[in-house]
Amino acid sequence: MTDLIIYITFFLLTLAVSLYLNGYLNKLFVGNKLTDPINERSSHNYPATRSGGLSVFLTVCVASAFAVATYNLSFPLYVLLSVFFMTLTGFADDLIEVRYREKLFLQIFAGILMIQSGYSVDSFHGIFGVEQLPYWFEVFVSLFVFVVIVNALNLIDGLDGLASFLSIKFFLVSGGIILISDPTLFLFFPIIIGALVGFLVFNFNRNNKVFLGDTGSLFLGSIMAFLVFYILDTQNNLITDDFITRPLLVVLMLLYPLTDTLRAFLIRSYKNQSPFVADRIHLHHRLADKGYQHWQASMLIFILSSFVLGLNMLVFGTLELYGSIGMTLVVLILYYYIFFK
Amino acid sequence: MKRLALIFFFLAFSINLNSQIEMPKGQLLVAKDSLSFYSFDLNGVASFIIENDSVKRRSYKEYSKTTPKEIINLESMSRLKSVITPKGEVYFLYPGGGLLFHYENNAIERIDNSFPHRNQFSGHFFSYKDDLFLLGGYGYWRSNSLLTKFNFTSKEWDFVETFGNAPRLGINSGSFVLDNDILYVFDFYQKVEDVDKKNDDLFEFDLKTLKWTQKGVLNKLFYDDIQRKTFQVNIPYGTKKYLHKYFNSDEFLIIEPSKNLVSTYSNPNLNIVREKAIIVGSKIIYSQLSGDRSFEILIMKDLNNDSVLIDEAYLSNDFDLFLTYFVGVGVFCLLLIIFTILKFKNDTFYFFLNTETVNGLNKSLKISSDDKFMLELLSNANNNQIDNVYFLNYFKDNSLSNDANIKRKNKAIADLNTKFLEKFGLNIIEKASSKTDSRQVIYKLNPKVILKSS
Repeated sequence: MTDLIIYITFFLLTLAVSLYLNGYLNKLFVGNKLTDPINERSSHNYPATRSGGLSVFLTVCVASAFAVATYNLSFPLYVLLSVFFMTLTGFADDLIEVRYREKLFLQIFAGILMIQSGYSVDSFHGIFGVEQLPYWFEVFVSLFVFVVIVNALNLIDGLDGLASFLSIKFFLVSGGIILISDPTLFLFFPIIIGALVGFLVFNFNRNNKVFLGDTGSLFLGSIMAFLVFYILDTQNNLITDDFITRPLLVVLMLLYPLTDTLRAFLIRSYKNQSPFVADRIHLHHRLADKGYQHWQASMLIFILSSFVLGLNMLVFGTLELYGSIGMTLVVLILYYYIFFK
Repeated sequence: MKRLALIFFFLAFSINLNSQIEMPKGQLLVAKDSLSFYSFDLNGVASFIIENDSVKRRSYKEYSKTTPKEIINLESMSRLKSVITPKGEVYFLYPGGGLLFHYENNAIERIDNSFPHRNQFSGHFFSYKDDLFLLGGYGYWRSNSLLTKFNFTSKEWDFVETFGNAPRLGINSGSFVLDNDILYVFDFYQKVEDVDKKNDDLFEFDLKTLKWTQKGVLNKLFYDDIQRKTFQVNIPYGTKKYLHKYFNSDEFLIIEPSKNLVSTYSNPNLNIVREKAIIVGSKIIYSQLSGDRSFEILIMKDLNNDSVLIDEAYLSNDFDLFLTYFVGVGVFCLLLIIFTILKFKNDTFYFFLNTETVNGLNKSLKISSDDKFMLELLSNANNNQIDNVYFLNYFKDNSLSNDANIKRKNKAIADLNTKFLEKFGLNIIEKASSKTDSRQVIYKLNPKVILKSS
């Protein structure tokens, strides 16, 4: 009961701090004419700032520092370094547009830092019949996973609320896993969810709109990458092992960012375009173009992807891996047919 | 031939008996390090070493001084609690706490100025950074979670104040693992109205900050009736683990609280492990009464030999908490969705109508005179709604057919809505049926829009 009170207190505290910081930084950015440029890819046509990511980051820092100081939270040092490094990269990108190659290099560096924390993708958990990985391959796979996750979140940050909703979904699920496996880390989840809910209020606000920006998407992406490492690391015991395999769980937790990024890359490659070119072929852009308001499209994606995750957790024991993958593909095709045909 | 076989059998049996180590009754085993251990009895101490998978008695020395009478009165060393500090100092605690004895220079001496407290029977006697502590226990018809620390200056036991969420009703006959600064406390009982009740929670006690934390509910493996505890064998295994076993069972549990892990193993060799056993390295050592009950025989078994891992589970928080968490998550998501919908449902936007523009949401939209007429008409109308006929009359051109006029009106409304949607992200004019006559078409302002003429 005491723990529950602590979790709720920290959630409300971060929510309050996030609301304050989002408002304050938005005014500061507007005052300094740091508004988000409107171009042909923009889904917004009114002034907004990219201060949301910084607000979320600062809120999480303040609340986490308080939680660590009161012995309610502990966090691996190298993970912190990696997340900070990624956030700074995002902040620089928001201000001065870091080139893609430089950004990739910085992401790899942050990924190496994170592997130093002792968490990595050290096994395929039986996928393709592969279990434990040799160390060099483990590092390679971990870096690849890190870069993919960080960029996937960055790429889907194209609609109001989408990245936040999907991040909240990810943190809610991974929070349940961490609650059982490592309770000393759990308080981080009420903190980050409180910060994201506070951000959502401003993200959905028409008159004082804020975006996550690269600061936010790289910050959240790097934390997600750490949690994916945690889940895929064989050293950690996960309660979910009894009803779903870890790689499938991770894919389902990141279902929309991964599938949408993969789809966009494939379409661009098919059209002989650079896979990294910015355009409006993402599914969420298509939903918005079909008349869904941003919040509706974001919520729809949130609900549908949560449904697929829940369904898999329920039926994995019966269908097993390939059955679950098949079922997921069928559901995704069904979604596509319902909403785009 | 039969006689020869019989002689050979007895010879082999006597060799086998000779290889057994006999010990006095009531001795107390104390693990020294990963290779050696002591056996204390009322008269002296034996030192043992494990070499090549066998136990060798290195020495047996009688105490250089008379054993304190308080211990003699107990008639058995095994009734004492023992602790060995990181520096190798051995201490013994009198049942119930208070009297403390130190083994030094081949003698056991009482070192306290205290008295038999008798309120911490079955408490946990442990050392932390050269200090000696006694936690919990029962006495005077109730269990408690007292923490007392031996003061080597005053030679008294001092009460230590703790903070946080301590087990309120006490800790009796618990299992304890000290991992660095954290003492894990679990699987214990508390006396409520003179009845022992199991506490199914895992607690952490931080010896640095003296703060208690409740870490959640224990795995169901530990939910059981009160009787089982009395038949259990609980042995510290290294610094981070704990072995937990029931009599006459092949199965035993290795508990690692820092990993939140309980591993269940099966080993038929360990079926008869008794209380007061110790683990030295990977060897479990215990004594067993001889057939005539006149002495004890030392027995050593390797935990790794023939042990088969059956299952791994979480020490605490099992599925119950996991499921409860997701019920909470479901409620949270529902609230998130409801609040989002409510926010957008009740969202209203102010717009100002000028001669050539509509302004709002920090933007401006250029409008035609037709647009202005329609918007003015709607903003001035009752409930911001008007009959179709007003728009139709405005767009009426007598040189055109009725159908063409209707199309002109519809196109003007659609164009205005498109412009508005592109600029502000919402429609401005909505079409509906009249409430009084469903055949009549009416037009109304989007309810989210509040339009003011400036």
